Formats: sequence, C-alpha cells, structure tokens
Amino acid sequence: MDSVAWLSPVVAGRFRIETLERDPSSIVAIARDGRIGWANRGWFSFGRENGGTTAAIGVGANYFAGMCGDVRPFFEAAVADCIAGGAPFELDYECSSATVYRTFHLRMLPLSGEALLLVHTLTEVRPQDRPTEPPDEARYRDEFGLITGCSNRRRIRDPVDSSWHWIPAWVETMPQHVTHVICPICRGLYWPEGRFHG
Amino acid sequence: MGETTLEVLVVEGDAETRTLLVDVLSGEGLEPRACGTGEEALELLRGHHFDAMITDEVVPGITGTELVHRARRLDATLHCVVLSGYPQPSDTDVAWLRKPFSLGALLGALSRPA
Repeated sequence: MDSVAWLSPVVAGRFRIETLERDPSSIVAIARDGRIGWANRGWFSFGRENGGTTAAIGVGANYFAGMCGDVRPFFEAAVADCIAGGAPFELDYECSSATVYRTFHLRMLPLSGEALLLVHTLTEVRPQDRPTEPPDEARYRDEFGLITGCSNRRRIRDPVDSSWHWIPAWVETMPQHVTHVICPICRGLYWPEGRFHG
Repeated sequence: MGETTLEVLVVEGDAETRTLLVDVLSGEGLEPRACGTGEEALELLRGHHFDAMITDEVVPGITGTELVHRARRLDATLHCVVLSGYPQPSDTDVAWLRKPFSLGALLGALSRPA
C-alpha cells in the first residue's frame, strides 16, 4: 500500500483534476517529506523527456531526490516554510542544458498542514547562445581587471549593460581573475527576499 | 547590559553582492560594515575592532587569503571566512565557503568553532 495514497484525494478536494491534467505545466503534489502523492501528465512528460524513470518521478518517489548541492536544502526549507506558513511561495529559476536555455516559474501552494502542490511553468525556452570563438576578454573586464561570473549558472556579466552572457568556451576553461557573484536569477534561489527576514 | 551584536566586516568587490550580504546579515541581527577593496578593509580594521570578516577571494588589489593573513597581523583573534567560487587550495587553512552558498551556510561559517 502506498503510504502517500491519502494525498490524491486531498488534491481532488481542492482542484479539478481534469483541469490540472490539461495544464501544460508540470504539477506535482508532495507530502512534507518530499514523497510524491499525485502528479499530472505534464509532470510525467517532462520527467521522461529528461531521463526520469517511473520509479524516480512517480507516486512514492521523493521529489527532492534528484537535487544536489545547496539546491536540495533550499527546496526542503522552502517546502517546510510554505506548509508551516500556509502561504504560497513563488520563484523564477533557470534549468538549462548545454544546448537549451530554459526558465521556469514555480508556485508552491499549500494543500494542508502536511502537503503542498508544486506548479512548474515553462516561461522561456530557446537555444543557448553559442559563439564559436572565445570573446575578447578585455570587453568583460571591469576597472579592476576582473571578470564577473555567476557562481551558479556560470554566466558572465557584461560590465557595460549588466546583461549576463553564456560563453561556452569559458565554461570549459575560465579566464584568469574571475570574481564570482550570485546573479539576479540565482539570487532568488539562494537568497529569496523576505524568506530569512522575520 | 544589552545583547552583544556580532560586528562583521564584509569585503566584496561587487556592489550588488556587497549590498545583498549587508542586507541579509543585518536581517539576521548582525552588524555588518562593508567595503569593496582590500586596502579599504585594512584601513577599517586599523581603526575599529570587528568580531569577524568575510571576504571574497577575488577582490581588487589583493586576494582574500592574503587579506586574511594581513588582517590577522592587526588582530590575531579576528574570525575570517573567505568566500569563493573556486575550490579551496590545499595549502590554505582559512575558513572557506564555496559559492554559491545559502544564508544558513554563511551563518554557520561565521559561527566560531566551539
């Protein structure tokens, strides 16, 4: 007997299941400890397209299991806070591959004192910018001779207009004197505003 | 007698990250003061006692590791943490926090070992 079978009726009690199923977003309901209790077709499609097996993405699997580094404790804390506070939590984040740039909007909606619904909506998808040659380093160096890169998603900041550029040659081999920061997109992931203040 | 507030010197060349660090540390009840270069940091350390210093490894004019060594010549008790996107070199024994890091990890690194 699946120990999170109680979650599916909770979802059905709050939402029209057929509406959730038609939604192209990846929607998954999880218990406080991360176990998946219900998911829509969008969730399974996205999971399979990215190599997920039924055991890894289906009912009973743990939502947090595929996360690594600081991302997992961040999401575990966010889920716990969302359930405890009873208020929705929203976040924009990037989940790209070497060839495809993708951003998502995540909404966490508390379902009860023990579970919540996560809605991942694709907000942008396009091929990665892939210049064939490494760019001129001088263009990216600031007044102190430093290059600024995001420590999470490895993009490089253009000192002229503060836009963030994907430079594959520098992902492979970083130039000298790169200072690492957390870019505005990743800031929402690591340092969500308001989450740690009061 | 009031509560003791941890005074932290934040050394970070990037203005946005500097502001972010100051904001989150203030939000946690610490008393941060920030500067953007190693020289500014040493000047502040000569004129004021801080309980701790967090510094980026790549700051204008000096490495974070070298700044820690020079800062400890001014105050041997200063608790220092280097923040870096690079792995910790095997030949340094300073406290090292790899970017990106969470606030919890930063606060943990700022806590002195028991």
